[in-house]
Parts: sequence; C-alpha cells; structure tokens
Amino acid sequence: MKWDTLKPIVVLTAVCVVVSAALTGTYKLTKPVIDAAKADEANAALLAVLPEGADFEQVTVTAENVLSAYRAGNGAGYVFQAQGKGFAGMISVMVGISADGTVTGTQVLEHGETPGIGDRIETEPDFQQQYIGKDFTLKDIEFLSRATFSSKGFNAAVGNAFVAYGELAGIAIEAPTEEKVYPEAELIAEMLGEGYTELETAPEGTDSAYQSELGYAFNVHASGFSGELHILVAIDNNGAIIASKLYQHTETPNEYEGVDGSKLAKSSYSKKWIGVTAETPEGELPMQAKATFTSNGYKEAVKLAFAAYETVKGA
Amino acid sequence: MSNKLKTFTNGIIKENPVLVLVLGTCPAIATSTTVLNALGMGLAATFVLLGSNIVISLLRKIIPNKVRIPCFIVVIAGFVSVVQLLLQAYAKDLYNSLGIFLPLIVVNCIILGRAEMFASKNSVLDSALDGLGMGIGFTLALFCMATIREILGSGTWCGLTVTANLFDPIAIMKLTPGGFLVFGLLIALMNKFAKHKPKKELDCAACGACPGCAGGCPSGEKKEGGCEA
Repeated sequence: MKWDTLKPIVVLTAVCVVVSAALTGTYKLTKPVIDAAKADEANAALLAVLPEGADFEQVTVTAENVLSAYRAGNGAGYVFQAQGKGFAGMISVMVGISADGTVTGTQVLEHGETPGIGDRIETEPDFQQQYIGKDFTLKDIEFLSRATFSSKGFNAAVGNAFVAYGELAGIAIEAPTEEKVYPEAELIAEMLGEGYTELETAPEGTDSAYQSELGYAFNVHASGFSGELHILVAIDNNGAIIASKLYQHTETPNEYEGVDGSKLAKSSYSKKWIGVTAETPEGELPMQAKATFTSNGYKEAVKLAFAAYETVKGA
Repeated sequence: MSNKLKTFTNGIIKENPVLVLVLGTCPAIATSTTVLNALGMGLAATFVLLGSNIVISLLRKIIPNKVRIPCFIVVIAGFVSVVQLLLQAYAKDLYNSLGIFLPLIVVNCIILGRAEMFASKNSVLDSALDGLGMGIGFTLALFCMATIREILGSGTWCGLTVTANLFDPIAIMKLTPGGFLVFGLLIALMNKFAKHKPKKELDCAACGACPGCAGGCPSGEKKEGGCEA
C-alpha cells in the first residue's frame, strides 16, 4: 500500500487516539469532584424529608414497593423511596420516618396523575403536611376531594414505607391492603335469589363469592381501559352464566370517537353473556364495538370467575 | 503588527460571526435570554474556538485533505467534551443553565467554519487571534441580545432588578419570537454601522455560511479575492 493511501487512515486514527486520551484524562480528573457534587445533591434530597438526619447510608429491605431505603447514621431515623398505585400508575414518594416511627417529611418524586386534579397531592401543601407526625396507623388522613385514587396511591406509598421501617426497626407492620370493592346486596339477590350466602373464604382470583341453590356468584375485577372493572358473574350449577354485571368502573366516554367502555355496564351488554360457559370458543364471546379494552377486561374477569367456579363446584 | 490586529478585530465587528456571517444562530437565540447565560455560553464557545483553532493550525500540514472534516470534528468534539466535564465539576450552576446547548457547541457552525476557513490555512498565532476575535465577537453579540432581552423580558440585568418593579416585563422577549425580533434588529443595525459595500463577488468567509459551500469554492477554483458566485 502506498503511503498516500495509508496516510489519511493513520492520521485520522492518531487524532482520534490522542483526543480520546485527553478526554479520558480530563474525565479521571473531574470524576471525584462530579461524584461528590452528585452525592451532595442526593443527600440534600434525603435531608429534605428527614431534616435531623446525617451520615446517610443505603440499606436493603425486602418490603414490596419500596425502591430504596436509607438509614441516618446519627440515629435520626430512615428515608424510604416508596410507591403506591394512584389513578394513572405508580406514585413515587420519598418518606422520612423518625427512629420512633413517625413521619418527618414527604416529597412526591414522580407521578402521572392528572394536572389540576390528581397532581394536587403535590401542589396542595396541606395534603402532605397532614402526614407529619403520623405513625404507621395513618389515622385521620383526609383524602383530597375529587382525587380519591391519587390520595389513596400516596397513602399506600407512605404505608409501604412504614412496612420497610418495621423491617428495619424490628416491628411487624402489615402492608396496606388494596381496598376491596363489593357489590350491593340487592345485586347479588337479583342474580342468586334472596336466600344467598357469602362464602367464608373468597376463592383465588376473586374478591368475594356467594352461593345459593341457583348457583354461584363471583365478585371479580380486571383492568379496563382507564382503571379497574368490578364485575359480578353468576354461574349456575351446570357451568353456564346466568347473569353478569359491571357494577363499578372508571371508564370514561370518548366523545369524539364514540368509544365508551361504560356501555358494558348496561343490561344490553350483560344479556349477551347469558349461557356462556367455560367451553364457549373465544370468537363467540360478546365484544362491544369501539370498546375493545373494556371488553377484553370483561373477558378476563369472566375467565377468573370460571376458574374460581372450577375450584368450588361440587364442594 | 497591524495585520495581526486586523485578524483579531475582524471577528468582533467586520465579520462578526453572529451578526454578519449569521452563523451560530441557534445557540445565540437560545442562550441570550439572560446576560449571565449569554456570557457563560460565549466564554465556553470562545474557549473551544481558541483551542480548536490552535490545534487544527498546528496539525494543518499533517492532516490530509481527504479526512480533514472528520479530523476537525474529532478535535472540536474533544474540546467541547473537556469543557463539559470541567463545567460539570467546577461550575455546576452554569452547566445546569446551559443544559443541552453546551454539547451543541460541537455543531456550532462558527467553530467548524473557522477551522475550515482559517485555521487550516494560517499560522498558529494568526489562528489563535482569529479564534479569540471570533469568540469575543460571538460573546459581544450574545451580550447585546441578552441585555435587551433580559431588561425587556424579565426587568432584570444579570439577575439584578432593573425595571421589574416599574412596569410589567414583556414576556415574549424571553421567548424565541422575541429572540428573533432582537436578532433581526441587531443585524440591521450592524449593517448600517459597519457600512458594508455591496459585494458583487462572494467573499469566501461569507461562503462558509451557505450549507452547500461547506467551505470549498463551488467552481473548484481558488481565486485570490474570493469565489465567483
């Protein structure tokens, strides 16, 4: 190869090597300074929720929905990054808990709640302020009006932080349970007749179950388009659906596209499910046009009901 | 000696990169919202310009023509990365306020333009003076824009309250449309002040502003005064 052809390659390579070396040198020189600054910033975030704390060190916890945990070296307490399910996904909260188990401060880190409605957990200081001084029972917490799910999510996050606190402090604290939703007695009576009884333990996959001589009714939930669908499915002793009802949901009608998951709560849709069994082929299951997600959620719920039916029938 | 002085002052008025050559418009408008930001950007860009001009001038006899653009870009990117790390370590506030515009200095046309137009063809001292002059011109243009935009748009200057308590600031001055307005007015002022003679030939330095040119004469011929359009 002639030098003329080789020269551009050699020179370009040489330039790249020299520049890379200079860059590596600068990086090594500045890394300790940059890292120290980052640590200071992180420390400041921890101090914001546990003002008395110092010498934070990270610790591991097994509590669910707790992303990270820090213990203050000076014994002031702990800081947890916990999350709870809000209206639109997980709400991530930094919670400071003193050594004797009371909240010292909270800060919302991340959320996808609706601006002006759910994000008030962040923009209304009174909401978070009420948590200061509370212990793990979280009594007398007032949720924000018109932002129940968001408030619940924040509350659950704080509850999860307390579970982690319990783990580190050696106290047994139970995880906050997802509030269960139950159908009204009239609805169950409509499906199963007046003389129904509630099963002592809800079969797996259901929130509650009821029985009468007509058959069983299962209270199940599944994900719809914009939240949980709560459906009561009544199945007779031959394994066929006698009735079903979407009794609680947060599906919102879409005015422009005509999409409306709430249509599935109507009896016109519920009727379509009568006679469906576990063996009914997928293609024949009732779908609602322009409400695919909600229909799929409905199908999921019915599947759970059939699965539960298998476990209790003939028992 | 006056020749060296001419090289230096060229970039400040006669061929101000922002107001005459119309290069580096994007960072100019984006970072001239406050005077402190503008000065920070100007200084960072000047440092990169000075450094890259010197290095490229030192290497001008070694870098073959075929790979000159990649070589220039590697050198410039190297300098910008170094500036980024240094600012992140020692001037975190400035680093945060410059944000994405700090790494964007790499693609600032002024730097590649001067490397191609001047540094690759002139001595180290001349290139250094040119880089310094262009950098100062860039900073001055940004400073003027930022002074107008900050006083009118926020009522402050360098963060100190000037008119904020006297009348409501004109918010649009802080935003892009206001930036363009000030930019256009300053170019008009500069045209009047520097009294350019209408040129029939395109000067090669102005050529660098056209994306098609990329620093080379379109006709392929190199003429003494400039390229023929």
